[in-house]
Amino acid sequence: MMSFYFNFAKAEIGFQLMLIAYTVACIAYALSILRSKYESEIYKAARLIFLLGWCVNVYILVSRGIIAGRPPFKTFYESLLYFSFLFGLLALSIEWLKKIKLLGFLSLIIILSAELFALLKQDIDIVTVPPALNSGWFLPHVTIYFSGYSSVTVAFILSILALIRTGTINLDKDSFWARAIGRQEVNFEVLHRDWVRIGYLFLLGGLITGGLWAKFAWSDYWAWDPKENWGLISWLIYGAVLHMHHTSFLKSRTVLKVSAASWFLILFTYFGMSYLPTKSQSMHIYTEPLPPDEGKDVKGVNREMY
Amino acid sequence: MILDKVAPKADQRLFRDNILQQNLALIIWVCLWILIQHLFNSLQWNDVQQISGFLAVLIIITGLVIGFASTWTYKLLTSIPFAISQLVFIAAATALGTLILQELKFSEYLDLYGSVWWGDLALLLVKYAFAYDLYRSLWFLSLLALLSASTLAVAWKRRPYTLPRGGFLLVHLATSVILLGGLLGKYGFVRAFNELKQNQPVSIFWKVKGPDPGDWKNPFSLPFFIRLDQFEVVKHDPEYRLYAFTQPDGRGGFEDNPKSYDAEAGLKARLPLTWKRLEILQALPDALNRSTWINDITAPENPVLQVMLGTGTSNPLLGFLVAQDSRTQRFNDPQGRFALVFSEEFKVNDLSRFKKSEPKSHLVQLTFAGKTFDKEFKKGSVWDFPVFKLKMIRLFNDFPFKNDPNGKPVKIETVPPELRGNWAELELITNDGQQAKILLSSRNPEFSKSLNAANLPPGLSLQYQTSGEEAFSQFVVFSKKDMKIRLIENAQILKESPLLFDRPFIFKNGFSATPLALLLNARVDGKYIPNTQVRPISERNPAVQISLSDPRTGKTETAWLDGREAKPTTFFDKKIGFIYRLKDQEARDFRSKITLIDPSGKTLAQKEISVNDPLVYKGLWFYQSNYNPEDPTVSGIMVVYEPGLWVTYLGFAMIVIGTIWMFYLKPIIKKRQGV
Repeated sequence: MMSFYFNFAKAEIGFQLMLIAYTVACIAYALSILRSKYESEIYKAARLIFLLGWCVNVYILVSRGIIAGRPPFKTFYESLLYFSFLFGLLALSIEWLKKIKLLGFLSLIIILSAELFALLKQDIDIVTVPPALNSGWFLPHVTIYFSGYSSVTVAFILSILALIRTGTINLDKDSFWARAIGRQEVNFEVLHRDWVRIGYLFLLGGLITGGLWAKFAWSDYWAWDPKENWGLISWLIYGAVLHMHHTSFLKSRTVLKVSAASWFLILFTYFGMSYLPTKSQSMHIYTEPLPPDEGKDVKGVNREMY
Repeated sequence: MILDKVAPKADQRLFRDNILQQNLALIIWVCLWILIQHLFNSLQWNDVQQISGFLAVLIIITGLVIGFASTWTYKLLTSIPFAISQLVFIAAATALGTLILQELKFSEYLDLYGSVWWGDLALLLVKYAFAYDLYRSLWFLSLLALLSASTLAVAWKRRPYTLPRGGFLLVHLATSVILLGGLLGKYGFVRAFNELKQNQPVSIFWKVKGPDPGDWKNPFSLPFFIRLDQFEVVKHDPEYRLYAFTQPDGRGGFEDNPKSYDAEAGLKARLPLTWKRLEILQALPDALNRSTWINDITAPENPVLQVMLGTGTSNPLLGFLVAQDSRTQRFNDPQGRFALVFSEEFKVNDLSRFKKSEPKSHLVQLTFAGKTFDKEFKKGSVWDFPVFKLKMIRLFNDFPFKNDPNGKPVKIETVPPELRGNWAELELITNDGQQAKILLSSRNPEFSKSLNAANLPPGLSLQYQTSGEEAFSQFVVFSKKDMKIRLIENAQILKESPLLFDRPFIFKNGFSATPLALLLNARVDGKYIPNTQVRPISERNPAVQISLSDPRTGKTETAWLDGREAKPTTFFDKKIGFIYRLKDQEARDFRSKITLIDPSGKTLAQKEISVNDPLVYKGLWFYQSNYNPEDPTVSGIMVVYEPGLWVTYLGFAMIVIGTIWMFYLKPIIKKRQGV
């Protein structure tokens, strides 16, 4: 807890503002769901503050990008800011269009978790990129991949909403669920499937842009690198989820559960690489220095020379 | 639930009836291929032969299936639940390969997995299921082949194709196209490497990783010559930043994540977690250090002796000896004749320190392709590297040669002092069995480098370092407590006199040490002045002057920070620290200008290649691959030939277009067609 506070105190002012805005927006969403008093006023405020926080998020990324002279996602801290920017954009847009307050609230919980994780990571400094990342592919590859991560995160929230919402809701009555879904009917299952599809397509795009880039930088479009493998694993499993939609051997609730569980594979692909026993064989770990005796060219020039 | 209603009933029956059968079939399929690979291995087939055998067995199986079980197999391959099982199986197998380290030796697996609870399982998988090279194992490839067969069968089943269903066809054909590309790549794939020297055209590269591990070190000849015209390491402009530490860890250090600032004169900021205010007073991009020691009664006790050293020339040396700092408490004569030492107290027990002694630790340091490795010298031990071994033979405590290059005996007294001291002998054994004797001098690494130049592979350098030794035999020791000067040689006091200021202490013919002042509470009075001469960027020494004030007490502390000082300069009773240092020193790019020339001398292609920008010429990709930090005229270039590349890329395009078509174009087309 103390290290959160220490690192928060050291963070840039924009980050502090953004975190405060997202926290306030999250509380406001919760209030507008839990209480019917001043519901619409608090809801409007929640949306506006969410938007404000997101604008600060954009400002931090743009200013870091300008200072660094490169796309702002080299360090874990930056990549998490970039994720909260892309995911925030999706969540805010869906919330704005569909008025699903609970989606706004849960999205902010995920964004705040990402920001708190960013605070725990101690790589706030703006650093230069190694030659392998100094490429025109950097921006599209990471953007497409993170759009994939963001889309399946939306799908994850929708699967959870579909799972916890049971029975019919009387939209005219003032109840938790009526408030949570903005008093209009939403089919979470269909929405969920749509977002799994979007996520699946972006994850595929990420794998392919990664392959094309790797052919230029590392000479192989595919090298069974642990990060590539986990990208493939999560894509295959979402592929399996999409196939499950076309069979009835599983109940749709089971499909939703499998889909929700698949999101943890994405989490592992994003955060788990440094816990793998094969991490020393990965060329994708840019966020921590490799131990000098683990036989890799640290400069990322080439993967298997000696 | 809505999705239950859309799904066809037929699948439900097939899966419910055969769920176990389907997964059992997959497990049998995997086991079959494990056995087949054991058979191939016992025949000692190489990679290419194994792949050919794999294809041959696949063809036989396909023939058998068509002949005897076509309906059952067709139903199985086109079943959606079976597709799901296959995707899960492939995902699980891929995950397994990220849990077990790939392509190690069996002894290394024993070291790794010998003592963990899941180690036995891992070792079983390594030993019997080819988990050491999982992604190239036949059972893994067989799962991919099965996926390809399934997608083709499904594509066949869904005939006839109309425009809206084109996406489905593309997606399901794409899997086989991508795998076909990979398969073609297996045949004729070449990855070869060479270190090119500037203006020396070569046509031979060395295969480092091809389809066959036996290809290592095999030559790969190009039908033309390749010449390195120029190699360049492009560096980022050095950027110095100011790092503020505000969380002392109680052990004299600070936190790992300091707050950093742009070091620009005039910057004012409140430090995080404190009330103290920082101001940057001056920032000099290149400064000269004019700091000196001064006595400051408010500073903590820190005795520093100012000494003038007369060496028989007209230019005496002036210096400070710091009693509390083991590094700066002594001055070592560069020619190894004597050392001056200032200690707070001299005890008789200390005498034994002041004599020549052997090193306590012997370290061999190896630098290869920009990486450095250390190992303690142990007689007879072998240091294993992928392409060579180093055997530690013996140590010498003095010059190791008995005869000079002309064969005459060497008199040890006539050997120059810089070639004496400790030496180590190693043996370099390359993979092709060549042996070479390597001799390393601890005192003069440059000399041993030229001595071994012919025996070391390019890019490899070795150093021998000793520590814990005393190289000197004569000492002039100043002690503060009893205010005496002693001349000590090999632990014997030869001369002793009171420490008197401005009185020379003569300790050798023509040599004298004169104490000038004793500062009891010494501190560095930092002073930096701008350097008016222009120096190359790498030689510049930036410095900043900062002030730190506490608005609650009104106290202000000011100091200079040197860009080359790695330790924090502390303020306010060591509660706050500052370092001014280079942000990072990573290279921005490596660039080689290369030219391809045909045997008649005609230029075929020319390009400045860099890490993300290879030269592609007639299917050959030339990459900037490595460099030699010690030789800027050498560049490591890799050449790759991959026949199936464009087939794979076609598959990539098909799967992306197909997915978009299936998900998003299909409804639009259907709407337009009025379906």
